[in-house]
Amino acid sequence: MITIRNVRKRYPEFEIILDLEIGEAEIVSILGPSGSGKTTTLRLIAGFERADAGSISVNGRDVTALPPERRGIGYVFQDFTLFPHMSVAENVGYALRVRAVPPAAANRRIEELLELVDLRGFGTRRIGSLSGGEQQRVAIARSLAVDPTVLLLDEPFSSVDEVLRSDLRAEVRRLRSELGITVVFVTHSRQEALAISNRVSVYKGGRVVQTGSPEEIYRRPVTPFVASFVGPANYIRRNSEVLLVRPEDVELRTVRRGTVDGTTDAAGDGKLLVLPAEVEAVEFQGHSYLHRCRLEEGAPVSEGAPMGSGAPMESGAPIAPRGTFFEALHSARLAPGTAVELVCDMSRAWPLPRE
Amino acid sequence: MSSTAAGKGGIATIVVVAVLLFFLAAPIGALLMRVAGDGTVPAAHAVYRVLRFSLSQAIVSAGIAIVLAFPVAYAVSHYRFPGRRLIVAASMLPFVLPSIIVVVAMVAFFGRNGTVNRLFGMEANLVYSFAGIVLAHVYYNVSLAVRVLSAAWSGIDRRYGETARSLGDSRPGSFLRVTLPLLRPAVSTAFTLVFLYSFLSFGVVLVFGGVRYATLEVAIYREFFIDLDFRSAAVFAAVQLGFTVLFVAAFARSIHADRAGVARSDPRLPRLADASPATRLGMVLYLLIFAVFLGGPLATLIGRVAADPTVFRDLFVPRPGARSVEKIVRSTVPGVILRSVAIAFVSGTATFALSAWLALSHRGKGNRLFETTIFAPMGVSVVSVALGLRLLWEGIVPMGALVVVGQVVVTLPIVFRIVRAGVEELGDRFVQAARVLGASRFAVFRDVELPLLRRTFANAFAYAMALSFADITMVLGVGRGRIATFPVAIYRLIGFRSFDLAVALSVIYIGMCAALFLLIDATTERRSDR
Repeated sequence: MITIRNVRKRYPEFEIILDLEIGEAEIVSILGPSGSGKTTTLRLIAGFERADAGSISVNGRDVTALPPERRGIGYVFQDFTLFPHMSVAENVGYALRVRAVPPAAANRRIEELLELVDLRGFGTRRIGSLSGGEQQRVAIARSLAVDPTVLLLDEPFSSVDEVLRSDLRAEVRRLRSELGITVVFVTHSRQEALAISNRVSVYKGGRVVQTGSPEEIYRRPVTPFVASFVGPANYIRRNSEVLLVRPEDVELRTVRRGTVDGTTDAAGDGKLLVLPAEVEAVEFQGHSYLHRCRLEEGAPVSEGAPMGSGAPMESGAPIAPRGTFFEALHSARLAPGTAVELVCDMSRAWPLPRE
Repeated sequence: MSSTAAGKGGIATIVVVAVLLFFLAAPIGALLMRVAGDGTVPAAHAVYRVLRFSLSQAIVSAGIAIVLAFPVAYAVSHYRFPGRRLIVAASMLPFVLPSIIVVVAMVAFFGRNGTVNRLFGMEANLVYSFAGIVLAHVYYNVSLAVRVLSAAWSGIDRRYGETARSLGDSRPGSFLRVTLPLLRPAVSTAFTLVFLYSFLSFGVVLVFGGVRYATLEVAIYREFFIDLDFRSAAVFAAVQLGFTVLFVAAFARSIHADRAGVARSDPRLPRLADASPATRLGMVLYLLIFAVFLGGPLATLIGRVAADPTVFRDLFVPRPGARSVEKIVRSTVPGVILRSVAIAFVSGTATFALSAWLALSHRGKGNRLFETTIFAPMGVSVVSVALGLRLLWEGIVPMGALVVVGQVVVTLPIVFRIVRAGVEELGDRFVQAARVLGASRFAVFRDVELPLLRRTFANAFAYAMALSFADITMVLGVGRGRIATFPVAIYRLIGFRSFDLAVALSVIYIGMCAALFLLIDATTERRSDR
């Protein structure tokens, strides 16, 4: 368990102010744009940076003033920082050597750790001969040698290719459940954050904007920034409210031009909003097609005014339509220029809290 | 400039091989031939004594220089602080400061009546001894070690150290187990370079060695000029050549690993002023001591003439009863200045032009023959080349021309490296971009490369001139003292116990050299400071 209480760290250009609670055996991902303080959070927890104020405790022990070597926290850097002058076994056994563990016991532990990450027999290999995925697993094994209760991963998947990435994610999840340790990792990939963590903490400008389960973050974001950062978003203004509608809640129907009246709600129960539009561009996403559609100008809209997709990132600023585009998923590719109607499921729309 | 890129690389190789064959290999060969000529063969124990001294002082000098350089290299590669640029720039000191001025500065600072002795009320003999020779070599080369170490250190990701600490290692432990092993190639490069320069040292040992100590380099010179025993000289030269070839072969990788890189002034480096109080105090203290060690001797020289500027007048008008400079040096002071500048200009221009052409035409091509040949002069005895040139060409080629040729050959690798570092940093992407846009090879050079490389070129040209300006071995070896340049004049003044005059002349030299570099600095904008 990690408790970060009112930690401040000042830099020439900006300041980080943190309050964060991470429970035991959780996988928490820290998500945010570059320069939002994600990595600094990890470095503060690990002890590479000292907080100017506030306190950090790990498992109830105040570690704020401890040097990194006395915190017992595992840390895996983005590019793994495997020591190039040592073999795999020497890397993995580094912490044991530092602690003067007798060679026999150390070798047993190294074997165990290599087995844990599925690299049995790799001990004598040179670092340079390993693939990206193998390097990553060596780095994780090495960090586990200290029996950490907390494992910190800094963008652990960014330097391996897509295919490996999902394997490694599964690996990290398996290790966490096998060892029961807390994992905190930094990422700027929303898919990654949503995919493997049980909680996501979204950062912006050195502050935590929202922490919650992936579903919470995705479906019930507290600001337009969070809404747009974790996935494609469409916004609709209704009275003084701004509603978030995700593309998967927008059904796309082809129509003949001019036949949609725009007001209706086809089912007649007030739960659907239909908007006339035209396909502008299509992105193939594997399981479906993301269609970017231009809303018809002056479309009569009764229930709410479409705001367009993609929110301005600045919280506090009024949400201005960046063109009136909506994004919607569809199972087939529609040619650009196709006239469509967008049927928004308003029962799944989320009213963003007023700022 | 009409042939293909690959062809030019080939021509560059041929030119280098030919030049070095004629002016480096042939002279050395001519000297070595004398092994079978007239004269005596030195006793084995005499050769052994000289060899042992050459090796031991070089090992000790290199070891001390590296230990002293370590903390400075740490500071330079980890922090920003005032004077950092100066420390990095000082790495060229051994190349542009004549060894004879180092001798004068060492005597003034560490000598019996020097600043240090006066400061502590001692009368210790710190210079005319083994210790003095080591001291001078350390003084000469420590900045070079700083440059090599700091360049490597700033290339080591600091996260290696952080990783080690997250794995439970202490600060010193992670240094010993992780950082130091990663620095090992740089340590071996720095050690090899300092060792080699000290092993081949001439001027310092010539003066400080007295009759007791001689490096092989000095022994060759003495046999040749003082005992007029060409055969002995050739034997010493052969021994030295054998050993240097051995070292260069054994440490070729270390020597080539040094690409004249420097620790970058990264604006993201933390300021030393922001470090923890203990680090800050330790570093500042050490850097101050280092600055005094490096700057003190030179400052002493300037201090001495500032305290009594009339010594400048003595250079031109002798005091009553004193011997005139003209008598001792066999040239007037204006003559020394003009001669030095003329030789430096001719030799510097030739070296620079050759280096620039080689670097540009040979860019990006890995050619083993070229690499080995062009750096060969670095591991070669300058005295041997000088004496060989004399043996081969004396009476055929004018002495002045021989000096210039010799200087070009021995300074070529150093100047070439400076130009190449700049050319490689520029890369050929601009050239390619310009050629895609339809520019001819010459237009690319004129419009793209020349403007971007102006500072590199100016710098290299300045160094080429300074290297010739500082040369004593070639001038003394070929000219036998009859060509009186600055270093020769200073050497003679010391020999005739006119130390104050030597100091005054040294200060004039330092002033001219500083003016040269300031001029270069002022006339070329700094690209690196964008």
